[in-house]
Amino acid sequence: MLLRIENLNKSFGGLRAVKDFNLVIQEGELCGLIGPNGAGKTTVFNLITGFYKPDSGRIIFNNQDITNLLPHEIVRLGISRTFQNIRLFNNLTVFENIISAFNYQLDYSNISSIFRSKNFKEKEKAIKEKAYQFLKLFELEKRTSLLAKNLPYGEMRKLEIARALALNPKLLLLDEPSCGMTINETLALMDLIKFIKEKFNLTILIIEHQMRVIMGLCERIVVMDFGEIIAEGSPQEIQNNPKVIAAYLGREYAYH
Amino acid sequence: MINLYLIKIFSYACCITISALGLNLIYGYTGLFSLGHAAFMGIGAYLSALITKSFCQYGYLIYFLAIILSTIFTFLISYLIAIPILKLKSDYLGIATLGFGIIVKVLLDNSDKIFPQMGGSRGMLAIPNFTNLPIAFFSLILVIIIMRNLIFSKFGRSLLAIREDENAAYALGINVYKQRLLSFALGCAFAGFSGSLYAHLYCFLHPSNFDFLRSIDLMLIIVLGGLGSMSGTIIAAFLWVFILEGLRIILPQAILDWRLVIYPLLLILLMLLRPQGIFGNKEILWLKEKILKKCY
Repeated sequence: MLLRIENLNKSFGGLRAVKDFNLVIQEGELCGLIGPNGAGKTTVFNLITGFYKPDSGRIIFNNQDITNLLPHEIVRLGISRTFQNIRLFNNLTVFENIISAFNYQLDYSNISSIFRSKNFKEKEKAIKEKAYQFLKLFELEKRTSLLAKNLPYGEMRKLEIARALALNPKLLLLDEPSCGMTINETLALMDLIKFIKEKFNLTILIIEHQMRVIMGLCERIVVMDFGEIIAEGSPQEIQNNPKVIAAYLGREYAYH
Repeated sequence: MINLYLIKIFSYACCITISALGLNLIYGYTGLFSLGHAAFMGIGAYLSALITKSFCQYGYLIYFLAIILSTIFTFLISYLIAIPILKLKSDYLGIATLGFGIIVKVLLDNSDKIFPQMGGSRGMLAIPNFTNLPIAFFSLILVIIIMRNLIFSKFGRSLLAIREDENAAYALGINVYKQRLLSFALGCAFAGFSGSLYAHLYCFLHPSNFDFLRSIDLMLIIVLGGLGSMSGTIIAAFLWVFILEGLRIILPQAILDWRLVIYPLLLILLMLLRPQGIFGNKEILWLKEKILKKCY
């Protein structure tokens, strides 16, 4: 298995945001994480990526305990993420956004960049070429010199996903990628997710509110409510699960 | 006579530019709000002056050694200071650096208790005059080259990423805290470097040359030139020095002190008309990054 989460707990003051959370993700899976607002889905993401420290429990990625690692260390092991509210570097160009993702893969020292050594020049040139190929793959090559904040919404999402993929991850965490999108943009996004999963041989965990996306993409769905997993299974199983319907629509709709 | 005066002013402008470039690295590129930059200039200035004054028989040799030593010392001190205070963000960091600036000023005011030759609040006298125009100018060019080469490397890109969005920078595998420390210490080392040039230019140091108001002056320069623009900082620093001095010549004796009113007025006007500073975050000429043609 690629990722194993064991008995994860996290509280904010008196609120237990995540309670005894257990999850196993196999390599090559596309797993959906759903639940009503405030169920603790994003908290789980923040715990996996090291932005929050769990109160108790363990997170094991690729046979390595990553529970107490810092965010940048976890990224380097191969987990990258996108954010619910798009976090691009707004005042940098599209090209600069992508190329900053290659930073940690560049091994030259600051001294060699001061002296513009041969090593520096070669690595910089290679990385710029790679960044350009990346933009081309995502059909953003016409936008390279545009500031990220001036992109249309759908392309902002695309750039954020592209930037996350430039980190060369094994596991990609997508936090509500279709949030705020029109139907056409959503359909394009679904194609994009299928495409990158094949192309980069990825394992994906996705938080999503739009049922169209989640039912269309995921092989397995995990449902959270009040910090706990209330159901787990294939899209069909989840759709007919009374607990899930109760969580989303209220008790009286579930058992009539 | 006027020629000598001009040369002095020009050398002074070079010093100020070096210091401002350091602050631009800290605030303009990394987004760390620092109000204590002049204090680091003071540390460099006093330390190097102390060294050259004590061993002045060695001439230029000790001068260059003093510059190098005080630059390294400023780097180390600012690195140590930064370890606790860089846990703070934005305005809070500003207050903490402001506090540090005041501490340094008070220490310098009372320095004669320990080192009598530092003069305390009476000022440090009779520092050998080693800095001349070629040295100041060459130092400036050197600093610009170092800055430019650092900015257009992975280091510079990680600083920009941190400035734009800290969390996204973390998510890209950037060690935010470490890069911030390095940027802060490097910027302060430039200040220490410029301070040691300055000390041997005017041959007289006074703690009030490195107080809070001097830090504000540097902050004004980089905001005026455009945050995150080396070209802007260089031009704004020279403009700032020459306008202040130029007004001294132009204005009649009776209203000479009004120059300190005129230049803030210019500032307010510029901020109203061009809030992003003279250059925004653009660069000119050779300071631009070399880019792959087909990428743009």
